[in-house]
Amino acid sequence: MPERIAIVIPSRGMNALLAVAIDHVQLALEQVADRASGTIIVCDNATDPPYARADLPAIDVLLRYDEHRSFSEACNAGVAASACDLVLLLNNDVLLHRHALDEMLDLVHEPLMGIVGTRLLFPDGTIQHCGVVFGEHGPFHDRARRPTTIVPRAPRYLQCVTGAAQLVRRDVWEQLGGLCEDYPFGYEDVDLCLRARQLGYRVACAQRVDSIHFESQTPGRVERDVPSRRVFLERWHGRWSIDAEELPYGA
Amino acid sequence: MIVYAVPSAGIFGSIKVAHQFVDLLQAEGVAACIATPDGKASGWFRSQAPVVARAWALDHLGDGDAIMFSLPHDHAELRRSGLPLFFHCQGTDPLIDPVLRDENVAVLTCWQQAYDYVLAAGGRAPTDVGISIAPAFHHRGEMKDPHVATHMPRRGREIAEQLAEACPDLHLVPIDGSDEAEVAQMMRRAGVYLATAEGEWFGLPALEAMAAGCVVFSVPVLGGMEFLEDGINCVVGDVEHLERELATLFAPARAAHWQSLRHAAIATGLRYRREAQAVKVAAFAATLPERMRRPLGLPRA
Repeated sequence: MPERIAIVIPSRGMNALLAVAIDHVQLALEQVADRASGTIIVCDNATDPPYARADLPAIDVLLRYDEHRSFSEACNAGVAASACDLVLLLNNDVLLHRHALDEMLDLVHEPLMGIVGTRLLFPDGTIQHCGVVFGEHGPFHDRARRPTTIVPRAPRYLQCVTGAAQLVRRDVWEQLGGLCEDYPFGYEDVDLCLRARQLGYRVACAQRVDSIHFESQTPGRVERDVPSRRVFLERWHGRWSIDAEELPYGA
Repeated sequence: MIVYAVPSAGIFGSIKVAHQFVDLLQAEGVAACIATPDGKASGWFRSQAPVVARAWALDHLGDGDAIMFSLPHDHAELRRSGLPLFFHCQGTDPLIDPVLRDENVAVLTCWQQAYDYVLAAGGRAPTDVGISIAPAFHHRGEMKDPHVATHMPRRGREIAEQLAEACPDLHLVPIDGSDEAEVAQMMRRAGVYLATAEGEWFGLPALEAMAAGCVVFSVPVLGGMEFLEDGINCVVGDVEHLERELATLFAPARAAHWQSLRHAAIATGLRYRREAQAVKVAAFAATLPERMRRPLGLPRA
């Protein structure tokens, strides 16, 4: 029986980009149609004017917040609205490669696997995400802004992957209670991965293909990052294992 | 799930070995994590091991889960949990004897002499799970400064200083207080490592130094003799012997001898690659019941 994937896209504005992102999700779903089916859920996070259902013909569910909520709340609401085996959290500025889901599905069925990410590039071809690593001062995107050609294509097993494109087993999601809603915007994905690993689940990042992530396109996104980081550090500082050397500030 | 309980996050070799073991267990598909008294992680070496607080772990572990430990002082407390226990035997201090006699504790060993000790003192054959050194230590052909001698002053500072007097051109560089990456850099750059902890139960730095291409001068130790081969890959002897050898460190006639020891030491270090230990850990993991390999269930009511 095909697995059911809930693709949850919290979104605010960026209508045209959202439409293209959804097109890419559909292409990726077509590639795995023999083993998975997808339900696309868009959580309209106080877009003004609200998204019109008619403008998003490919989606299955449109949720709406009239007041801006956190990324976590929007994602949790989206997942709660679906019956699924797997959850794919997806940012509205991620253009999935058509084979990205294929490899992510392979990985998510490895023993102990709880959460799987995928390699994301900036539009200029440099790495936006190939895994999140931890230095003394906190988590950071490994090899960010470096050419995609320098990182091997074998899957990487990490402490964390970005929530911009994050496939989570639904049973693991439920066991963890979804994303923590204390985070205004940012670091809730790191929190989820760390909590999953504490229970013994593994986290991996698919590397075979390059998807595109424009990153931080949503208005107000950056301003919410600082209080989120504060919440994260209060909760986790000194509690992560260091698996990378931090680059000097500004490098 | 296997929770490896460690006594602290401090700079002790046994803490690092525990993290390496958990990393390898995870890679073999066994759910595992580290438990420290306060849930704080070690920050002085590279690892991906998840870390939880010991009290949290004891509260959440349930049927099918197990606890691993290496400090004999933890035996009594952990035994009260009623969960299956694994003792990861890293040394051969007689303090571990009561643990070895506890039939409810499965014993794993990482050194040959630990294996032999368990056999003799515990009357049973343990499971050899090996030990490895971090990739950062392996020599990569960097230029070495033969005048630099690294050493761990925590034990045997006086001996190191005495040895340095025998070879005035030697410059002592202490490695304590540094994180793993810095220690590895220092060792890869140094020509010599002075292993000065007499009666050492467990001497990982000497092995790391060998992998880094240092000529190791070691006082006799209790742990580590499986890789310390006097005259082949290092020099082992009492302080007087080490002094005599060090006095010839820069003698042209002995240059080939020291180079030979250095190369043999690097080769010895390669026997302790992480990949080599992974084979042993995989064999151990294959013996675990399926329910012990699974992630932690929901908290008990």
